[in-house]
Amino acid sequence: MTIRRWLLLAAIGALGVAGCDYGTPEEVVLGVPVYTQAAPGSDFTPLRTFFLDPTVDVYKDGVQQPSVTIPNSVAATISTQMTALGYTAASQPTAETGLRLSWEKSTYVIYSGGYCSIYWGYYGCWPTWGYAGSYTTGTTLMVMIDLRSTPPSGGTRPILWVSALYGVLLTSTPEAGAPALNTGLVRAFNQSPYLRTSAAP
Amino acid sequence: MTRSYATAALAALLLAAWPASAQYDTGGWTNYRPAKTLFNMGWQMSQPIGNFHNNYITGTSFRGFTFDWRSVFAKNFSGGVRFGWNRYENSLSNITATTPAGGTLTGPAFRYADQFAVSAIGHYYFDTGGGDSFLLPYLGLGLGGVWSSSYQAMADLALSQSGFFFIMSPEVGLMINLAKGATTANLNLGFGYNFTTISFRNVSNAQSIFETVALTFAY
Repeated sequence: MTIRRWLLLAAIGALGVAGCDYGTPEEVVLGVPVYTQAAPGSDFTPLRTFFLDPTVDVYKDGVQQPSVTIPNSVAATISTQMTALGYTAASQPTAETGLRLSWEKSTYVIYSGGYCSIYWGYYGCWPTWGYAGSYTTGTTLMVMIDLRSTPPSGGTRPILWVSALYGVLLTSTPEAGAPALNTGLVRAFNQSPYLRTSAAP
Repeated sequence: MTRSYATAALAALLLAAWPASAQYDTGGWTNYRPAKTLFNMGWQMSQPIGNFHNNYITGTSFRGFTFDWRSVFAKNFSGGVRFGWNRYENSLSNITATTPAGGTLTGPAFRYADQFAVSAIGHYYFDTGGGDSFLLPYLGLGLGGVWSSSYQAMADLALSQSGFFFIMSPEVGLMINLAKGATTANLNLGFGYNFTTISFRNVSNAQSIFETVALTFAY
């Protein structure tokens, strides 16, 4: 009887150790991974100007929603980062590059390969060389599009740089989530030093 | 006459007492009987080493257990089967990873690796007390297979790998007797090394050291 009790206690102890929490920590689940990638073979050094589109595309569960306006603080963050890299803000017809954001409010996982953004009548799709990972609620994508040449009718403009800020906008409006979005944007630029132009100070 | 009755009463008492005394003396539990079977169950800590440590898990695993059955088939030798489990995990506040397509991914990450091993084991016991030692050092070796499951997550981005691999586990240890009887109980303290062929991502031939605190019952 004594031995049985010892065995029982040992078994309970082993099961107790084995049965501890098994999941991913909250700080990782709710963390903000930032993904960036430049188009293969791209050269940013000759670039000089950029246009930041004030419109943010919004998607929810794969369906495009009415667009929203980019928060002022987010526009300021992007402009500051681009200026530091040697770019100058320009108007739409003359800018060499265009930047546009897309906010994914999805409640389920979407594969990033499916993203296309309407850009002045042309589609700038998430490139095939980009990371074909997945994202879910609150992810914001930003693409830099090459505006130097006019695409053929019905064609798409080439993408120069992509970034994905995972889970950065878990709020109902972009304004409410702007601080987290700004933090993610700064990280995206910081981990993309190749964006620097030859005009950078 | 009285003397006769007293003699007869003493004789009857001795006769009546004799069988009980004889049963006590020939009883089994106080005689030496070497243990033939051992069960070992306990808790195991483990520390990754080599590229398993450098490239994947830096900390100590406090989640593990071991259970083994051993049969003593020759003097000081036993053979048996061991089941063991270790879970290694790490949370990283910020890492930078390169995607297969050449992109850069930074952020907080979580990684784990589960290893569930089934091994044939052999042990040699340095028994200097004729089977009655308070301390019983031993050497052991395990050879078998290990099922590995590993997982990496950044937010809701996740990768996982699994497979079945080879494992070899030499160990040294010490049994400390806690109770003697028909079944004896020992505190078993062990230290060993795991070599496996587990390979995933940038980990190859995952290795670790381990410490075991267990109870061993022998009968």
